[in-house]
Amino acid sequence: MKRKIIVRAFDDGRIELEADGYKGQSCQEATEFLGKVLGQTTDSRKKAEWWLRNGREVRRNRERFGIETNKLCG
Amino acid sequence: MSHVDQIEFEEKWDLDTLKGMCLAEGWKFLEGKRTYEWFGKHIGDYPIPEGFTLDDMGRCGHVIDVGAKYQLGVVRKGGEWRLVWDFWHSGGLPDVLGPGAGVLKQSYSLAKVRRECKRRRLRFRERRNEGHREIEILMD
Repeated sequence: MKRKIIVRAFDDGRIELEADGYKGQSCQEATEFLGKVLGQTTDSRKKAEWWLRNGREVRRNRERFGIETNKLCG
Repeated sequence: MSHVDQIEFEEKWDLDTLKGMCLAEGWKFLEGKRTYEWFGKHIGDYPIPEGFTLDDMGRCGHVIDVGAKYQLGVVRKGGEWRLVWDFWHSGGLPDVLGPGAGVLKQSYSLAKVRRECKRRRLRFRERRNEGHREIEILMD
């Protein structure tokens, strides 16, 4: 999947950044430069896919290694 | 896989970005024009902008003309550029800038993103949708 960032600027002045196609922490890092340019991030939410993927990841790691890895992104 | 960030618009105006915004929107940036069009006198129905005096009204360093009867003044105050304008409806600016100047904020944010993409040599494409405009930046 191609990596891309989508900037949505709404008619009422709100701005939204969406990162797509990223794995791991690079997801947050990818949008960081634009966040700095545009203003202050007030909310960050992970899309449904993130929870599905990372839920599986956490379960797998808990079963195999007995560790929690819930700081994954994308 | 992804996440979505909400960003709060920051009122920090930069001259080069304002010029880029004007170019993209078909507005005019009138460099060095010292007065902007407005009602012409303050009638006291609204407080004057913070940090301004009555003598400051109508005076500026540059002007933005969006094609309405009234114009926006680009004013240097306290080491920062500020935008001032007369929002009286018959001056036409609320129609162009939108409620709460949302369209101005939108245009300026997009200009910032374009500028940053060019600086970083990132490819991007733009789309116009109902209620919002977007820039898709290709990172590969």
